[in-house]
Amino acid sequence: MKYIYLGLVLILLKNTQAQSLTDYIPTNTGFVFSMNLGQLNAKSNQLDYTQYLKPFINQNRYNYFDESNTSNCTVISLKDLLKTPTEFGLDINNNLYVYSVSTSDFSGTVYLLPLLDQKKFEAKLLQDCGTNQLKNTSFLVNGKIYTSKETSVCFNEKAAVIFIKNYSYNYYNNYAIAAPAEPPPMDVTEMEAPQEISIDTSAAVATPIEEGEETIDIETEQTPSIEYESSSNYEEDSLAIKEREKAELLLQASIADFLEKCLIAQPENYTSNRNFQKLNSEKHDAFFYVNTSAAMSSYMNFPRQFTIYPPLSALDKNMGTNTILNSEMNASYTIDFDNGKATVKVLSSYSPKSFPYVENCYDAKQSKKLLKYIDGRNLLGYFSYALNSKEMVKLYEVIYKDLFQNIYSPNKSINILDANMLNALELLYAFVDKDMLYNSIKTQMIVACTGFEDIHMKYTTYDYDDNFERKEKTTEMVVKQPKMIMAAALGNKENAKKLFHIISKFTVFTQLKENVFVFYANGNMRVNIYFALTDDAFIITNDADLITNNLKGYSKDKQMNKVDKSNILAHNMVGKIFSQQLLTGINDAYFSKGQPMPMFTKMMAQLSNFEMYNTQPKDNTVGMTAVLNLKDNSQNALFQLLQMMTNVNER
Amino acid sequence: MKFKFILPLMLAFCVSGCFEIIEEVNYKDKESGVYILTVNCSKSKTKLKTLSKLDTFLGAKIPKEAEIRESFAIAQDAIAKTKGISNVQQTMDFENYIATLTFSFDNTESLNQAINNAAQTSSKKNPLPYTNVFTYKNNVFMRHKTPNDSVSDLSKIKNSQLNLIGDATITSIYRFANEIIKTSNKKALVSKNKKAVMLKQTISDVILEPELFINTITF
Repeated sequence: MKYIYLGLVLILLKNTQAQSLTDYIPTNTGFVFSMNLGQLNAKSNQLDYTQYLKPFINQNRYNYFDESNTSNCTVISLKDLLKTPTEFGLDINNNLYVYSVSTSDFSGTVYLLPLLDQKKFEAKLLQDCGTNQLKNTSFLVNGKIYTSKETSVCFNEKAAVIFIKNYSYNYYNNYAIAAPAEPPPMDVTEMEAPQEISIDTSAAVATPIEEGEETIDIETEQTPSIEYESSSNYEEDSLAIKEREKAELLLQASIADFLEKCLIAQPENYTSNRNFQKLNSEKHDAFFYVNTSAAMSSYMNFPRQFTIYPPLSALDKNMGTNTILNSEMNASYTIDFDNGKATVKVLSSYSPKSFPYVENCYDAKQSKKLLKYIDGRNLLGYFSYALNSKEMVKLYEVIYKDLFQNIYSPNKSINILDANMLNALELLYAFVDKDMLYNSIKTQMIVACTGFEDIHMKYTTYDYDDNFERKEKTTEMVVKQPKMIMAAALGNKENAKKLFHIISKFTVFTQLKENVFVFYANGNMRVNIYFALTDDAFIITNDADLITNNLKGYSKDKQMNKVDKSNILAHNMVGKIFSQQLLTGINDAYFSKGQPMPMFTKMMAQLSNFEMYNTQPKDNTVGMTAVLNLKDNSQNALFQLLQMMTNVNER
Repeated sequence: MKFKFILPLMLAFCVSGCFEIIEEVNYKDKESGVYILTVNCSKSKTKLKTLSKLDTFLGAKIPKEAEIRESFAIAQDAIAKTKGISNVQQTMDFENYIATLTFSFDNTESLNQAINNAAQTSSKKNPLPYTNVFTYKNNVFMRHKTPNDSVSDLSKIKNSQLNLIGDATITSIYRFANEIIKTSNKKALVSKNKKAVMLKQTISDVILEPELFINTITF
């Protein structure tokens, strides 16, 4: 028997020798968020950035939902941990990871933390959890486990895992937990090493199994779902309470079992994911990784009673992974703070099967002819978008066909209407004039804010006669409105003219010229929205000057500068906001007597331009980069932005 | 007029920039008369229409139309229950953002009581002390200073924020049956028939210096 134990321990130890925390994250996790507290702490220069991390802290929701229950122990305060990570013994030079899990018994969020000082960490655990707290020694990972109704913790000398269980609105789910979801994304039963660990809930200590010993097999045995009816009988009520307490203990034992397995290298883990590892090695301040197939699969298996959507009985369960776009697709979002700028990058990866469709969509350039319609004299911002319309049509066709085929699978026993839905849609689509639909106005457009213009507005006020008798009167005043323009390139001009003519006949519009009609928005406020069709563009704008005097385009000296023009022509998607001009314009337009609004003054003092642009499709990926520039290049952007937010909040 | 009475509205107005409040007391004789309060935000109606779609702006909660109506209804009810008060009426125009509250009073004490009762409806957590806003005795009409604590919330607004309501005004018009001999407030204007007094000030000035309201009118 001794040798069996020894062998067991050696095998278990082998499993615990993970080289990286990413070994612990199973590949079927849909979303992983990661950040480097050391880098963020250094860049924030002691200013508290953790107040902006609330979306990632799901703690204390039990007390929020159930105020009467004061016994909900948190075991550890995530908020404090993130604020003072070194006091908790965290290794702040390595990334921490956050991801969601859903098993057949429970669902929640896992916080995987690199640990430097186990004793410091344990000392910080809250000790006032009373009887709700279940304390185990984990031989499996050579560590300790603390569990409570909401928050549970498992740690060893290398890492800590904090699990925050999702709140279930169902009253009895506090004890008997949510409806099963299958299969569990974290398939702990497929681990290589033997998992025979029993948890004695009375002694609350995990011990190896003795032969013939009675144990609770929490892997194979579902946590009992208990239903109670209200009873006036005291004994029945007491029994019900005891049963619930027992169920709660069983659940906590189940969580404890799950937690220690979170600190074992997973058979298929994120270390083997090349995209994720590349992301991890690039030392970003924070990043978010989406494994679309896993996320979709998880979504499709999510208990439907918790969503607003109808039951998925008619849908194919493999739809999430079978569709051409979702298959092998993943996306990453990174944020980095450098001196004078903050950069957000988005990178989407596609499968070799779907990437050609996406790549072909990017085979387009912005139409030069649109540039002349943008008044560059007081330009506040623009966004340019140019994709290949015809290739986009092909992409849409593939996506929708694929989607419908998965929804209405002919192999499923569904009714005759559903079975023929795809055929009916195909028939309908065959009659559609694709050139009219997709090529009248092309997917090449520029949206711009070209300054502010004066708008006349009527309002009510009072006059007083010599005896101060009040008389109501209507007066007109001038207010500033932003001038907006959307210019889109034309494909088939005859089709565009035909559509324009049909739309102009709607009674809400007033025809001004053959190629211009207007929508009068309001009787008091003269905001007119003009629609114009020129030889090379379809235009929607509220700029009367453009419509009346410059419909053939502005002269070159009034157009935007060469740098911005070439910027637009060089990218499929590009945007720029001239922060200084925009804030100055808003301040002048909306705040009285020209006195600067403090918030804007502070922002104007620090912000420079905001830019975004796409990266060209390459190696099955397409990306987008957004950069927020700050005036001061000598200090880190995170520190400057936090300082600015503090100043704005102190207004 | 006590400011807390219209505090929920003021929050919205503070972010709307330009509005006017008109307080009118029309005496039919030395005792009874009609009180009219008008809040006119017509000049800021486009901003208010935009703001009404938000929950908060610059940290201030933006009251919904239903909440404003409810506040006014509660205040109206409190006024209507006051002894010596009759014909309580209110109008609310959410197209032009103009609200009025009108009621008749039998005597100045009833008028004071009605204003105090209305003020209490919006300050239950920190009840205001009873204050005589007006007195009319021995041919002397007095408009007293609004108590400091009633504008305490508003006085927390920093100078920088007061810039936002730089154009907002409050106008007090008092009409009497008798001819006026003199007024103590130098900014007050006396009408041609000498039976009315008008005092127009900016809201930001009054918030910073509630004494500007004080006026003693002698007949």
